[in-house]
Amino acid sequence: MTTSRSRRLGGAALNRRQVLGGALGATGLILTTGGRSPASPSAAQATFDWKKFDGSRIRLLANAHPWTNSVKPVLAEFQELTGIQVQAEDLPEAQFRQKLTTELSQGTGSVDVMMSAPAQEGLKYDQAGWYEPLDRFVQDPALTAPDYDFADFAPRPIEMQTVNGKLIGIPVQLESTMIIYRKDLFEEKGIAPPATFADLEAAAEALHAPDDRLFAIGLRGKGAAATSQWSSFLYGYGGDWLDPAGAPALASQPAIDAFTYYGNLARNYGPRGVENNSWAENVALFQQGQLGILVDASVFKVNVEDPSASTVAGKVGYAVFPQGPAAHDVAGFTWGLSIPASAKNKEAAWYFVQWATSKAQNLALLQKGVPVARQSTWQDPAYVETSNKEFDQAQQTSIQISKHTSNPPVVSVQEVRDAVGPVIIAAIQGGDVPAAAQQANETVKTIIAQSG
Amino acid sequence: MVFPAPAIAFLLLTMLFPVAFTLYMSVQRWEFSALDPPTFIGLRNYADFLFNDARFWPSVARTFAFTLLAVAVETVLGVAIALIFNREFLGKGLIRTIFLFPMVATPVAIALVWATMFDPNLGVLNYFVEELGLPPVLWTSDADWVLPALALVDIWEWTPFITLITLAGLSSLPSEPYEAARIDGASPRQILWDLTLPMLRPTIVVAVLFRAIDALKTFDIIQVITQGGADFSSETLNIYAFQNAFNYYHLGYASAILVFFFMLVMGVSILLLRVRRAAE
Repeated sequence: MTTSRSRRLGGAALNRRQVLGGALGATGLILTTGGRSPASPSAAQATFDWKKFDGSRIRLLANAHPWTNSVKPVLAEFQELTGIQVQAEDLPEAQFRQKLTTELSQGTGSVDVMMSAPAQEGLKYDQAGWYEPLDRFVQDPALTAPDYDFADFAPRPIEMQTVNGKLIGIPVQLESTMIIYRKDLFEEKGIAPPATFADLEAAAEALHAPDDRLFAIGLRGKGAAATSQWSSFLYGYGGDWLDPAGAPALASQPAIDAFTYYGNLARNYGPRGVENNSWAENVALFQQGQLGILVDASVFKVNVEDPSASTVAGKVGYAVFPQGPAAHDVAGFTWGLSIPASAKNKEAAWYFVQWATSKAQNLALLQKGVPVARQSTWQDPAYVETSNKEFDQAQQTSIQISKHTSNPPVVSVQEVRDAVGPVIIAAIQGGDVPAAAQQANETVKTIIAQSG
Repeated sequence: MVFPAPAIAFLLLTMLFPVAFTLYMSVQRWEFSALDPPTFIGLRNYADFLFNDARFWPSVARTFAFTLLAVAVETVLGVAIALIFNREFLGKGLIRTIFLFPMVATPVAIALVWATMFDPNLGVLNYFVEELGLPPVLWTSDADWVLPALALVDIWEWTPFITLITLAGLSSLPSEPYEAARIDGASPRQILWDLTLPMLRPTIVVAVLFRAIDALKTFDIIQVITQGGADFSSETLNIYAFQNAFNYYHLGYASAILVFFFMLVMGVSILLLRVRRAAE
């Protein structure tokens, strides 16, 4: 889905990878490339007309997400800077998607900025013609402040925000599957964070004490919701959702190995009733001190470190998802800000997007615990001063090695996830995995034939 | 003729138009797109779910299983409680009022509370189960338990409704037959079975009719507590149609399912209305 790196973005972006050469946060370098003016940010700021759309009104439809909570209190700053009024509306994820889909399908231009997760709906929204490509805004010096520094975004999240060669969003948050573990328990048992799948199982075996209400490992078990975290296991076994020809590969040996390994781990070392656990249930268990390891998205660091909700805050360690028998890959995921093709105030909307994804806003977000996509932010002294180095390291490494997103690269993501979910449940319950996988593969074949 | 016109227009707009539009969409293929308009495909959506969809018929069966279980228990409990409440006892007014609370509370809030209680690890239900020395139950995580567990929420919420209607029926019963029965020496048991319940039958049928139609259409508590899980074992028709519309983007297909569902609910209603006429 993110095939093209030549995003018609002009020299700066195209050169970025080679310029950065893998060095993180090489912010100093960026100013010297792409023919940008070496002017200092504050001088550049002065020449950029933030008031160009003074008096406009835009409507933001967002998922009730840490990003949204973080940006809502500072919307007044944007309104002061630009004179653009923002009407922000946020809803829990399921209702948010339903409302967004309904409004976009009406094509009335009621939404100017939307939150979007391309790994979930990117191909669908692009196929439906709902995304405004953002490349032209990023390239336009009249619309993008010189100190915006697009090249500062890490390559991987930009890749994930690129659908069919078009940049459809700017990432506001970046997450990856991660090993979130109880440092105190690991030390007690004398075990190190797992480096391989075998280590993970050994650690789970050592930690599991269900009679003392300590379950070793929290894996999602709730069918469709589980597929996104299961996918890292799939990649570790060298599998993928589709084969190179685009046909589903869910009954392949690597997929069956991944289902079986995942199901065994969850059954033998997981909390009871794990088949109905998604992230919310497992995060709650971890917060209550009932889980030794949580394998889930790195974004939940905020929750497990929140002293008002978590009894284990401060005792938590972070490690990169372990190496599989065939590969070391970690599923990544981003939320971004996108502009609907039907939006009435696209330029004003872009002003909001660039402000919300600026260095200053990224820093504020990261300080609140939301992993961000700008590389320089992770090196910002204001952040590094108080940051959890183990988490920073795990997050940066995860993104560097991540080659896939957590979802199947298809149009009907949710339908495919729902079809794969029963295989995970069968695996957890010790059922006939190859048969279930074969059946899911057939279902997915039909889905792809119908919707892509 | 003029005065009812606004009311009729309102009714047409809010009732007839959505139904007509759903009917229209049900013969289209439309996947929510700004680029591809709906295309007419005749009855293919209907044929697909009737003959070609592994998730459709099980969801129909679950819809009925849930309704039967919930409404049966609610009816027995609701009528029994109404008979108790119909007697004189200390604090009757207060208890009757408290008893109506579940019905008044917001369904989504109720569902969230129950979801917390059902949690097999942190929930209060398993705490009690274990205090009693019984093995923990997986509640909504277990394919066999999930529908009864959801029916339990419905029963908790809606038994008071049956009680309320039955109480109204009880207070309107004539007193002469009772006097006659007592003079003839009927036992309390005979009075209940041969007098009160037969006279209450039309009232109970109305209560069951309302509840059955409502229970068939249950959406909120299932969507909040399980979203159709574990696996698909609580996916009712309503939930399945919702998935198709808003998660799979098959708007035409979802519309066809809803048309089928509409006819199903109509059918059940007509059937129950016939029973009611027979009861009178």
